[in-house]
Amino acid sequence: MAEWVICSSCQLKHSRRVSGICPRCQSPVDDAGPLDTIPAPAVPGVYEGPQTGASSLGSLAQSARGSQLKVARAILLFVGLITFGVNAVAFANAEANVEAAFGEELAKANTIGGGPFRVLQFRRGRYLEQVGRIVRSVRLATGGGALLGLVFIGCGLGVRRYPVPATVAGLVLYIGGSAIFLYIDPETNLRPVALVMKLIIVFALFKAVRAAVHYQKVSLGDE
Amino acid sequence: MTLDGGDPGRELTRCWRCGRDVLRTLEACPHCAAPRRRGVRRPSIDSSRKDAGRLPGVLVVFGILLAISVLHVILVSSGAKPDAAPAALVRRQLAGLLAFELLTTAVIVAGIRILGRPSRWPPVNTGSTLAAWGLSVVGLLLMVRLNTGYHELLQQQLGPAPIDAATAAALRGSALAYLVLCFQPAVVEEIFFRWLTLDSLREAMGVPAAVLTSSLMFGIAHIGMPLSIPILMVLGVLLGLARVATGSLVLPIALHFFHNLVLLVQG
Repeated sequence: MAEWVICSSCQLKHSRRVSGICPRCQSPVDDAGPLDTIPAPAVPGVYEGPQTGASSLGSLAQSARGSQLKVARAILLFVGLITFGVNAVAFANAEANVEAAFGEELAKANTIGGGPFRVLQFRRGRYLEQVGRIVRSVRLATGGGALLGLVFIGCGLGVRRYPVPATVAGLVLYIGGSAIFLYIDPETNLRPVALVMKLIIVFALFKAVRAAVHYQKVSLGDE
Repeated sequence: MTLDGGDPGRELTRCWRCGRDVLRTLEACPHCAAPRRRGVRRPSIDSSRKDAGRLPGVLVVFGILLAISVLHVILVSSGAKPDAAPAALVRRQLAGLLAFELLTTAVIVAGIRILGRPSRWPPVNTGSTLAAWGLSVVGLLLMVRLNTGYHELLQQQLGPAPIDAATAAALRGSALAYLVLCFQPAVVEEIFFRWLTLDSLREAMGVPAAVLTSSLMFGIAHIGMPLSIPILMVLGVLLGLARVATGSLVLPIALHFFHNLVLLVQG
């Protein structure tokens, strides 16, 4: 059944129009009745009309920003899980890996540098001390890497609740972590595939930061 | 023409049928109900580009600074001559550091020129400022102790320090060292991290998160000393709190300067 309203300008009783405009005098109907979708004019003489088009575009934009944040969340969780997994495994196997690397070096020295005498000259105590020190260094680096992975996961989980801090911290940590790993192991990290992947992730996170700032502004404006 | 100080959502256009002013965002003219013509600008999904403020620009400047730091570290490690005399080695490294710092200063100045000055810090009452100055002395002493303790622990675990006694003595004897290790970082880093970055972050995320994030960035910026990053983050928090408590850069600059000075003199 049609809903009746009375125009305040020409007093025409008419069925309520979607546009909120009186069909006779074309002026906005102030007596909007139960539906409150018609906003008050912002400037005298200029009627803004029902905001359905604009607000739907606004919510479209907001949902697009939300999906950018979802991408950021997925990236941070992915990077976090990979970083944590790789470093946790390396942390657990640090001793075996270092001893294997030392064994390889010794074998090389044994074949190149004059047979078994070189190995005999290598003092056992000094060997253990060196291995212990390198194992501690490796554990420190891989433990730090695993912690960084956990922080990435935390940032990923926090994207929805704290969009700006989580995305900014994620981006800064990612750039910083990449720079540190580049410093530690330039050969692996300077490969074209690794570089391209890092650039893509940095670009996506950067876009997410921009989207997060705007998303937060709009969300705060709605409250 | 706009109604609301440049807000694109409130821009006016003229209706093609009745010629009256209509908001661009409306689907139809409210006066004559004429449908909007195609080609009229709608609010863009990516309108965040303008509205995101200074923060993305600050992150770009930070990325550039980090890239310069990595380049500096690579150049230093590739050009190192361990057999050189400590004094010559120190002179050479300080000259490289000076060039690096001039470059970072230029990047930061350019960043400030491009991005503009952050909004003014809200006024801070005198009591809070005085308390911050008083507590900062204790904070500085604690920070220096924490820093030396942390590095002693690292030294115990990982072996001898990268700087030997002769190099440390040569550093202490060089006037350039005080400029490039104490004065320049205290002024330029504080301007970037505690002014431009902290203020831009504060506009976007509030004070506590801004202090933490800016100190994270401060720590990571010291990529040349990766093992010192955690303790530098703690220092960054202290300096950020000093900035928040006093509302000015004078105390963070003073704290940063004296922190570096004490560590340099201690060797």
